[in-house]
Amino acid sequence: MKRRDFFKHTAPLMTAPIFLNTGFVRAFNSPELFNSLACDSVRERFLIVIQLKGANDGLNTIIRPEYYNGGTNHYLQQRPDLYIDESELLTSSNTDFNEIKFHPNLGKIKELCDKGCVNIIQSVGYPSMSRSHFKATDLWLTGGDGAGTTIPSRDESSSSISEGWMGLYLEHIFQGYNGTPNAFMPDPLGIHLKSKSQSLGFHTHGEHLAAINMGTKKNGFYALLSEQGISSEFFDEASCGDKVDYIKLIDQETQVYGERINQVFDRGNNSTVDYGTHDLGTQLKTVARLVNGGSKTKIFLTEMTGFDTHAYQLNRHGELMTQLSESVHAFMDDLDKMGMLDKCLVVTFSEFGRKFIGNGSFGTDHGTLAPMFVFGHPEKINGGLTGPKIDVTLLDTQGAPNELTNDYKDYRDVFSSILGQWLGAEQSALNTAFSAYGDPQTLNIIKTDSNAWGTAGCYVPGQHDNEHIVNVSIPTVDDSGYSSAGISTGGTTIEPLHEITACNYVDLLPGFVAECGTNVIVYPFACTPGDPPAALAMDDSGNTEEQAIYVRQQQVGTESQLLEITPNFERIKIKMYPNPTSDFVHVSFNVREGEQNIRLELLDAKGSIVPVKVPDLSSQGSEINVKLEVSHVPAGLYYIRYASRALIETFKLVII
Amino acid sequence: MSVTTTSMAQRTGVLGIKLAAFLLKRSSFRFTKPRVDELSTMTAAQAVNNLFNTSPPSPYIPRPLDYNIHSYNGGEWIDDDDAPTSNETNRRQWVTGWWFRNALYDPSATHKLAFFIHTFFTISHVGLAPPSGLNTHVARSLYDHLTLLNWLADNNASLKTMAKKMTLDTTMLCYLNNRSSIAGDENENYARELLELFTIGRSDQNGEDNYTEEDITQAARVLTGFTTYNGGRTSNPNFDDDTDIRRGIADTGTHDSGNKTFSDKFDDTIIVGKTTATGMFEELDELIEMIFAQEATARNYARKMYRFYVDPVISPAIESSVITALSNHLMNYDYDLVRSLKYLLRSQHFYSMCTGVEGGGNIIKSPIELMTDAMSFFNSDLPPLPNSPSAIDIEHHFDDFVTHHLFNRYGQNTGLLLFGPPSVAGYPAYYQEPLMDKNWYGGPTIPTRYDVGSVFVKRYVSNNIHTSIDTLAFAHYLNDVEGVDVSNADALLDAILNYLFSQTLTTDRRDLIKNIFLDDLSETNWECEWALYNGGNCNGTPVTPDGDENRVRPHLDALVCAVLSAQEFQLK
Repeated sequence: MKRRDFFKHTAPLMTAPIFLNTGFVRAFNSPELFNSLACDSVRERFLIVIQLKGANDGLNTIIRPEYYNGGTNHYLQQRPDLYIDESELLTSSNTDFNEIKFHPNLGKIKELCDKGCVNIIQSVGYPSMSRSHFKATDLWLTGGDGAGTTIPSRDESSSSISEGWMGLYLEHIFQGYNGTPNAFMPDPLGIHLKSKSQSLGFHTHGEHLAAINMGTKKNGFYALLSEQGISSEFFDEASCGDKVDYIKLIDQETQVYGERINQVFDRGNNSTVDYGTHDLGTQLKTVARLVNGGSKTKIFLTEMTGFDTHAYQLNRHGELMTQLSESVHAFMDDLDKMGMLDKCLVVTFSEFGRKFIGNGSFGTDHGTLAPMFVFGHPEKINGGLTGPKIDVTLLDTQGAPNELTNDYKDYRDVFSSILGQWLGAEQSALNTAFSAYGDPQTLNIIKTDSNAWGTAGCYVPGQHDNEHIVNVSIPTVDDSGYSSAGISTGGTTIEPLHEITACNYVDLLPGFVAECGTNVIVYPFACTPGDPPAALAMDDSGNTEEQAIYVRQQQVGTESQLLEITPNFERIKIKMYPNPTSDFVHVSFNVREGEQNIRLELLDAKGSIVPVKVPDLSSQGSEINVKLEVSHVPAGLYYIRYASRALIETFKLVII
Repeated sequence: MSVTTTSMAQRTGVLGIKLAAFLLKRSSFRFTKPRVDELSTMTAAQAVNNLFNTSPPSPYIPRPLDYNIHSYNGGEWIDDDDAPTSNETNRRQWVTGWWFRNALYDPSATHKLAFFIHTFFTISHVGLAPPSGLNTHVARSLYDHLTLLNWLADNNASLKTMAKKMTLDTTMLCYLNNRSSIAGDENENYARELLELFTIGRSDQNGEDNYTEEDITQAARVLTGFTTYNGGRTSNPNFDDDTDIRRGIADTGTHDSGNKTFSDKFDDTIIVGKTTATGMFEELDELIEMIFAQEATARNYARKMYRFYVDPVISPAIESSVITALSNHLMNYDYDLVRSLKYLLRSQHFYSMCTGVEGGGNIIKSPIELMTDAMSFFNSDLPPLPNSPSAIDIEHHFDDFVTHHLFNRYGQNTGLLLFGPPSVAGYPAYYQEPLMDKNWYGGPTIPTRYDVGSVFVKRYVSNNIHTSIDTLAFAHYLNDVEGVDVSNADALLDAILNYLFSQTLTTDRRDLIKNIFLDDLSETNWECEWALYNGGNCNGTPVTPDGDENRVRPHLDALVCAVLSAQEFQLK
């Protein structure tokens, strides 16, 4: 399928990316959008990519016992300054990893292996591997290889630089995405941490960016943006050229998403897990908090540098192994404590491995095949080893594992398996993202019972079941105050007022409540362009989401005042502490004028009400401060739900 | 409206303000109104010659200093092995801060050309581990490296000469590990990047590889034995004959004296192994000549020049016209970089980028250019560093401005640590297609980029940077020295916008900035405020000035902040 085919429905937006002047509904009137939207379980899944920049020495990361056996390519002889004594290597208690041993600093990753949270693809490469950092990185990010495969480019007039597979996947899944938030996708599709520049992996020829760059930590992120830059009005488009347009566009997207990222970050939490001071750990901690805070961003790209160990490798590489191991473990632990581990998948990659034969500087030069690590919930991934080993008796004349004689898995098989089985990409999306490769092979990394694509009920109309409304964030409100109707509770569901389907379900923007007497359904099942929605969600002032988003866009375009949230978006502010907690939680808030029938409830992760004793709120006046006993509640992720006549909000509470 | 031309025919006729400003912004770090006026009366050939033949920066400072050891030899530490050398990281920043100061005051093209050379003969002092035996000397060798860059930019050096001198540069020997590459156990790091990044490039315009993996190994063998002098810096007796800069050595004991056989990419060249130091330099010469004999090498440099000075995007039409002409020029003149660069900067094509459909100003400025353009145009001086600086003078410049502002705040937030690019490929804005210069501009960098003016104008930063843009002093300068009637709002705007912005503004756009300046009041109001402050007429009637600068300074601050946070200022 040609790239340009994907854009035929959205071409008008590409030329006017700043305002949603074609209207909110029309931006998503393409049936393909609905068909390609993954089902709920996939919608709540995230992919975290860790790029090990500089080419990690895979041969000193996982070390096979046979390296120590005799022969001409004896590990100890070929790496006299670099080898690790066999007695120092770590062994997993999980027999799935019997074949291999671990670098002594990978203790935390070994623990994850023990628990079945890791799949290691031992030998990964591609035809005619490049040993240039920059060429190889470009290939990994664009799905190309060194065999001279022509990488198609949508813009034939430009150079041969292709588009990134992450960006292409995201554009395909979110067709019609035009660089502005919407009810389907209030977040940037991808977030690239650490880097100040856009990764080629997220690059597409769309004018907007598929991903937003942010620093390692969110603190202060974009905080000053709304106060800066003068209004970008009144350019002479003919004489100012594409760079001014680019600057205007990036300013606006950054402002819109800056607000959203701040909001999500502030709303999110980490558990008590100590990430230490590693740079990678700090990035992952930020990711965990954003996910916890409700981010819908699909792909987070993090990076770790320093792997180009041409000289004095042993200690330096050991420090890198420590950082990688401890950071990933802290992240997994944090996610687990917050009940989010089953939503996140982590994958590492590096541009190539290093030569088996060490150089004269106590280091290693550029090599070829190397392993990839996939981390996830043991119920979601197949722990163990995938694919063949790297045979270090098969070296090329340069002293690197020879990819012509060695068996290996193509890195595009790994990424396409993850996109397909974890993020629910259709075959056509995979073909697009890896168009240079042809027909990727599906690897057995993700458990098939968690395989989103092709699972009954996920995309097939009529086969959906009530699980689809588990975790619907906005429940029904009726005239009598609050009712839990519409929230499924572990399979038993009170009939919603409108049919909820995978097709017409959407999340609402923060600050929106459902119209009284309706459920949250906004779009008709048939999804015919132009059909009126079955019912509209609206905010406190009666603005529909469509209207409110339009107002937002107008503000962005003209006044750069986005951080000044309009009263329409005012939300209840609740203080909860301690959080996480094990025995009790204090909840306090100010009652807003005119609020009636306020209730507080504790929900579990599936939306079921958990019994807790709540003091009578009506006797407390305008400043509510209550203490809820939760010592009887099992550990996990819960929500405190605030419900009144006008507003329903949920706030995450972690019980440990 | 004219259109861009691919003609390399040399432009004739005087430049005028707009093209002179365009040339100056692209080729020099010092951008001032009088300099634009001076060049505007010249032809392209005269202006380009002027830019490449100007005397050194004024004021020029010869050394980075250290206020902590001010009592010791006035803070000198570069040329004295006995001077205390703690704070290695800061010292490396001070060395680059020394270079930055000279760049800001350099009215010629030298420092920007030196920076251009740095973008492809890349080193980074950030995180560069001092190898054992050279401990604490990286900062000093960095000084030698930057001195070499300036020498190469200032002496019409051939790119071949650059490649040879870079090979022996101490910082480079450390950065890409060639110092520890020895016979039989070579480290290929430098050899690989010499081919891939510094000279011929990985592949040609048709995607054909320019060399093989085996060629890298053979080149690495030629380069074995070129290593660092491991004694103290001042005791290093090895000076480069041309530059008089200390350099590394040829160690015959670790050199691979066998013959090196290259692939058919280099016509099966055999470099005969030698055993003497002289022989090692002969081998190096042969290696460089072999690489530079390839047309791909000339084309690669031509593209780098074009991307840095003209347009980061090279279309197939440009590749077959301008790049071909420029690479032929390089080969015809033995890779004389300055000579070919002058040829490019005199071409009709170069100036058509300013007047053509692209509209001019079509490169996003690097963070350094944002700062130097703002500081030089508005007469903002760095903290003073007189001939005999006091410890506090040194602290203000090197510790407060350079370390705390230029590196830890501005550099970190904008993605440009001076001479500390993120990888050996350099700064992504100069190589990472397809975004190229757009790499400078993204989420985390935007606030700081827009803040560049207000940091200087409002002086609100927590750590004082000991410099500022005094907008009132600038207005006086325009009025009293440059002969601009600043009481006339339009004359004041012209004296700024026509120089600082490459674009021609629409009336509405100009009015937007004008109204920020006037605070939405009338032009007459401004005329009267200026007259009441400084003397002159208010609406035709002479008034007695009261000297109250609060009448005018807020207007001028608002104007300068608006101009520096306008999208146009982001572009050159």
